[in-house]
Amino acid sequence: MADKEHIDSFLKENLGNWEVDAPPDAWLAISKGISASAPAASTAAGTAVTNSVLLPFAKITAALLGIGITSFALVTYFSDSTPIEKENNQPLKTEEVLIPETESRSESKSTAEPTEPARTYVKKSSSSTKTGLVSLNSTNPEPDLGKSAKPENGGAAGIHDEIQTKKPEPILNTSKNQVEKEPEDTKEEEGSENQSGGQFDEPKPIIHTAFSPDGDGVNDELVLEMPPLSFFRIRIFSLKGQLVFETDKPNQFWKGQIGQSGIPAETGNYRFILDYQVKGFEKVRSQTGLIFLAR
Amino acid sequence: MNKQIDEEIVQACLRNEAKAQKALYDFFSRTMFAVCLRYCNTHEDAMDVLQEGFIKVFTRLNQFSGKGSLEGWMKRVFINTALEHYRVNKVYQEQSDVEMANDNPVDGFVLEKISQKEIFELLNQLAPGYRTVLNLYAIEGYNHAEIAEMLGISEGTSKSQLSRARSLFAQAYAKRNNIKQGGR
Repeated sequence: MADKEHIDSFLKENLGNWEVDAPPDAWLAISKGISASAPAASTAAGTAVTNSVLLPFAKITAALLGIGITSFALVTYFSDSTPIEKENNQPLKTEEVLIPETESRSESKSTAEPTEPARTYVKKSSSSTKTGLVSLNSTNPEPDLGKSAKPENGGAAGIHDEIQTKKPEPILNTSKNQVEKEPEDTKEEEGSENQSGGQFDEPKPIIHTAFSPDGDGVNDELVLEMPPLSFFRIRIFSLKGQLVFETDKPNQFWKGQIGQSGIPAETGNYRFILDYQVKGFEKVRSQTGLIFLAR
Repeated sequence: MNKQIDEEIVQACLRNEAKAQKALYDFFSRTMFAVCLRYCNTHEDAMDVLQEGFIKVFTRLNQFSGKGSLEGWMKRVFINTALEHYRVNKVYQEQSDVEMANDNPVDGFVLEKISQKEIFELLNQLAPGYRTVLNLYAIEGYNHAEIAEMLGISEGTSKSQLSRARSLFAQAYAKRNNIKQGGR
């Protein structure tokens, strides 16, 4: 392959600056799409207008939004992990509610230790107002209950830091995270789809491996029975390796002719390579085998 | 080679001004649609990716660092959108290598006037895996490490797919020339 560089530069020169008219209705769909995803875009605008008079207001609303959103996210996050949180959101006042709960959680460690942090926790929460942040303060020691009271403060500070860093542009941050995580996201998607895919068996194509293209109206074409597909291609080669037929249309069957020439292919075996992807499934599958052509 | 768009249009796009967004779209849509076509199996998919890509561009424009050209950044957005569209990771790992095509006639690779569209069609005939690697390496100029990461394949796979893709492309090209000249 002496001229591989040649091929690369040939492609780059010819297709690197290639341009094609976009479909005329594309813009309409795009502009609709932009306005649909307006929330993210509006904060972007908010930060961009830094020199406008509205800045203080923008900052305040952004900060409030930030607190609201991050705390909501954290609360929901923690509420998944422990049953206590769910109760905490309302009955902040009573110690009685909490104590049984800590006892129930104490299976892992001794009962005496966890009650201590639990009390401080109640005091803290009852002394402050019912904003999202408060419940954060109180929820945070939670995971540390079993171990000791010490990491409690550190942990709380940690979350505070997080909140502060997240405050200014909450939505921007999340969208950035999305960008960074993209590859992982797609992997996860695959994982989940695989699981769901596992529940149903992927339909398989049925290939009738012999046919007689003699024009008698019976079995004249190489028939493939394909499930609904999102990708399809079949290539048929003679045993010498000559490509005799190729199509990407599942309903276009080989009639036993060589290419477009109309010359009938000889009786004998032919090899097919079938690439397909069943609609709703991940894998592009490839299948190969022999076909017998009889005249 | 890259097109330069007026900085003011970009700033206005950041402020979500519809007119500026349309202007940016008009400026880049032809180039980007060509990118979409190169990375998609079908015309319909390319249209989907074009729309999805532009929506991403407008909602994430504030993340464009200003390093490098805006066009380059946008191309990357569109390429990634297209790759995501097919969740290629799987596709490329499991692509079979049972191509029957023989390795011979690369020598017949001659430069000749051929339309961009024809070249694209030759390229697009390749199986998606080959096409994408050839696109990324030859046209976009990514290296094998980057391609491996983007597609979730090993570097070795990327290399072997590339050389296979080149040879298949050269064959397709030679075949096309033969037909044109009435040979065979």
